[in-house]
Amino acid sequence: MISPPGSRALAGALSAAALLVYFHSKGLAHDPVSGSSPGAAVRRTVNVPIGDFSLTDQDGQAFRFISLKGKVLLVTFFYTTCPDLCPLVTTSVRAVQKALNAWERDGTFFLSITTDPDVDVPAVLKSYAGRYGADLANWSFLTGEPRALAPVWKAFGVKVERKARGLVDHTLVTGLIDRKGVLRIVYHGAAPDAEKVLRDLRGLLASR
Amino acid sequence: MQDMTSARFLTLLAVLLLVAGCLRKEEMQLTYAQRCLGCHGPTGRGDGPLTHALPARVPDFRDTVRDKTVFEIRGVIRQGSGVMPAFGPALENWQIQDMVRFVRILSMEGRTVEWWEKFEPFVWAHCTVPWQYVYGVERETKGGES
Repeated sequence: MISPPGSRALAGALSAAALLVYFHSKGLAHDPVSGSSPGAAVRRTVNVPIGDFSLTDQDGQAFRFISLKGKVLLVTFFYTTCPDLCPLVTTSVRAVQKALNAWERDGTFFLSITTDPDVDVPAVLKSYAGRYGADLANWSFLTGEPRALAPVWKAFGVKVERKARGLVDHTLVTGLIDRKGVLRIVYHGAAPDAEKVLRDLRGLLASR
Repeated sequence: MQDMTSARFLTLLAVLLLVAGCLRKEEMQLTYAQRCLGCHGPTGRGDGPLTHALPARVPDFRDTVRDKTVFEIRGVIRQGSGVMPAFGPALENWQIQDMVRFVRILSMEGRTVEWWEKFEPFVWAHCTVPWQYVYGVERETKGGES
C-alpha cells in the first residue's frame, strides 16, 4: 500500500508525465520548423537586398517598405497568440527601442511582421503593441493578405506552417537592414539579446 | 414509483455528465499543452521550460487562481496579461472555457478543496487528472486507510 503523501506524489508525477508527453508529441509552436529553444540566438552577417513590399499597419493604413529607405530597420516575425518565443522577441525589441537616444531614434524603424494574418488583424496588432508599450512613432506592426505576406516571409527565410487557429510554426528570424535596404545581420532561432542587437544597430547607424 | 423514476433520472444525468467530462479530456489537455504549458508548466506551478527566459516570474496557479472568479480567469485568458498572449482573438469560447476549467483544477492540487469545488473536477477532469492528485492528502486522510 502506498502512503497518502506517496500516493499524491505518484499521482502528481503521473499527471505531469502525461502532460509532458503531450507537450513533446504536439510540440511547442516553433519546434518543427526552426528547432528553436529559449537559448541564445545565432548571429549571421549576410548581404541580401530586400525588395519593396506593401502591407497594412496596426492602424489599418497602407505601408510601403520603400518609404523607410535611409533608415536602419530592425525586422521581426511573430504572431500575437504565440505561446512561446515571440513574446521574448517583442520584449527584446522594446528594450532596444527604449535604449535609443533621440538621434538614433530618428534613424531607426522597427517592423514586426505577423506570421498569422488570420488572427492578427490591425485591431489585434494595435492591442498587442499597447500591451508591450511599443512607441508607434518608429515601430509598425504589419499584417496583410497571405499572398502579400508570403513573399516577405520568403525574402527573410521565414517558413510558416499553420497548425490551428492562432497556432503557427514559424522560423524565428530577426533581421537588421541598413540604410540602403540591404539585410545585413540575421539573428536566428531564439530571441536576440537586446544588448547585442543595440550594438549591431548602432554600427549600422554609424556607417553611411 | 416516483422515487424510482427520480433515482433513474439522477443516475442517467450523472452518467451523462461523466461521459461528457471524458469527452473533453483530449481537447483540454491539448489546448493546455499547446498554449499554456511552455510557461505555466505541466502542473501550473509556473515552472515551464520557457520560464527562465521570461522577463517576469510566472505565478503558481495555487497562489493566484484560487482567489479569482471564473470571469477574472477568463478575462486574463482572453485579453492577456504582461507578456502572456491574449488568446481571445484565436480561440473559440468553448476552448477558453476548457482552459479556465483546467487552470482551476490545477490550482486545487495540494490544498484542501471546499465541497463545492469538488464537482468541477468530478465532472470535467476525472479522466484527465487522478482523483488523489486533485483532492490531495487531506481527503485521503479523512477517508481512512484502504
